[in-house]
Amino acid sequence: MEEKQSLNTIYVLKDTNNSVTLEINIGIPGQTSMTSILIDGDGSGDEINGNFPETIIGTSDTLDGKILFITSTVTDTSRDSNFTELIIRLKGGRNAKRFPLSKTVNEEGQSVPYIAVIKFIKIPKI
Amino acid sequence: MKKYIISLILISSFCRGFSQIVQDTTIKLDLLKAPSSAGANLLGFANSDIDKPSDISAFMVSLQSATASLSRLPTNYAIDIAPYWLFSKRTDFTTAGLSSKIKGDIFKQTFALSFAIRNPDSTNKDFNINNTYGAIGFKFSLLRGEYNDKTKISLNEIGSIQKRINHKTMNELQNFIKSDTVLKRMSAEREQMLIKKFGGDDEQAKKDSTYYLIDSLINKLQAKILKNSPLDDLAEIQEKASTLKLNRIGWSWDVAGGVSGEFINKRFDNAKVFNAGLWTTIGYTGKAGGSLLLLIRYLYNPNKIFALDDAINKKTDNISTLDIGGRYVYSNVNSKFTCSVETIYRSVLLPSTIPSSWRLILNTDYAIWENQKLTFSFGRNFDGLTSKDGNLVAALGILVGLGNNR
Repeated sequence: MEEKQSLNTIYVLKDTNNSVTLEINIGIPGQTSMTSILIDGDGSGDEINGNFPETIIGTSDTLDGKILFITSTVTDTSRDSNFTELIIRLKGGRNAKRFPLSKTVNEEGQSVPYIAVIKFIKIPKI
Repeated sequence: MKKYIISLILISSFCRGFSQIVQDTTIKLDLLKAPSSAGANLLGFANSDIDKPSDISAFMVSLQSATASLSRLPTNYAIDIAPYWLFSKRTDFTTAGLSSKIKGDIFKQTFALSFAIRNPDSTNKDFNINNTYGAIGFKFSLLRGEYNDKTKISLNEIGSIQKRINHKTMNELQNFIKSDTVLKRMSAEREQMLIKKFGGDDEQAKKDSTYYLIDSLINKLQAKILKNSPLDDLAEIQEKASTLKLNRIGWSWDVAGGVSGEFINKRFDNAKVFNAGLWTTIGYTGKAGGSLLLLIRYLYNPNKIFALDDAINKKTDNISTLDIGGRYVYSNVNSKFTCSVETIYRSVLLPSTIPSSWRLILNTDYAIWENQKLTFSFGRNFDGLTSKDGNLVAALGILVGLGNNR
């Protein structure tokens, strides 16, 4: 699997005013993480220790044109493996999307910073 | 501490009448512990031979390699899977999630299945080479203690540094996205292409070479930010994380079990139970340094019969054994006194012709100085003889007189 720590993409919203959910899963078992989530604003965003459970972050109308910023640091505290991963899941748009990021550290206890920028756009009806 | 020494002297005097027999230390309580992979271990697989895929693709690779791309049954193969990790991923398996006290979370995080199949060759003396063997096992926890104070402090320190890194990275990322003109131009171009050329179908857009190129360039440009990650923070976090141990205090309760079948002449319509086992471990670790462990093990047709000093089971009878063990250990870094009581009861349920036996041992020691200890142990061996061991009496007379207090 290709190692990737950075993501910049577009998430296409539905025409209808659907709720959009975000979920972030951290792997593998035994790793320690802190994730910062921010939607178009100043500051550092909310800090989440561990997984971010599936949560409504807005609707098609409120998210249109906005940018979701995610920064996460995953530290290798598992004694079974040096593999770290961060999976971003978005639902409620035109398609449900899964964006996996991962990296294996060389030494015990090293950390992996992950960054993601996702722009929400609603395609105007023609 | 004086009362501990006086207690030891009294116990020693009481025992002086017994013959001095060195206690039997060949049989350890740990023998009763559940294997990490119950199914595979019932068929004699070594832990190093068991596949433990950490993600779904590793699981598929393992399965395909063992079955020649799903074209035949595996010959000798053992695999452990954690279903809630591998197939769901909705449960939090990070150190934060692993601190959950919710029973459902504990079960999901600890539940693991073990599968094994063996077609023995002539080197496997415990198996019939004409038959095929298959096994399934499970393990899970019902109770789990909370992290101890030291672990909590370490995790909090790691979390604080992670927040600091995130804060710096977030600021840099936002500035970059909002101010880098090249990135802004390419992002606008990608967005317009997606809307106008592909009507928002990003799957279709990624198949277009121009769109794919712009998308790749944007991602490469953004990834450069990671080169500015704060090295001092990363080094500090590694120092703390590399030595982190997830130690827990409080009650724990683990259950494991497994059963294996013997398929006569490799026919799946002619099978019998080959062996089986059920293990449970209940433990308690206190803040003050005391810990309690209770182990119960039931085995059907084990390779060795514990109640017969681990004699090889010829497997002519269908033997069922039940073994119970317990240990209490008191050990505190701030105390010079340590003490443990250990007991093992071993029995054969069927046939009942083999007698049961038990052992009870008390071990104590008191550190007079860093390199000198008073030790005393006393107990009953499986054969019914009393044992007494240690240097308590000699120590009081000789070590204190001649020793130095380095």
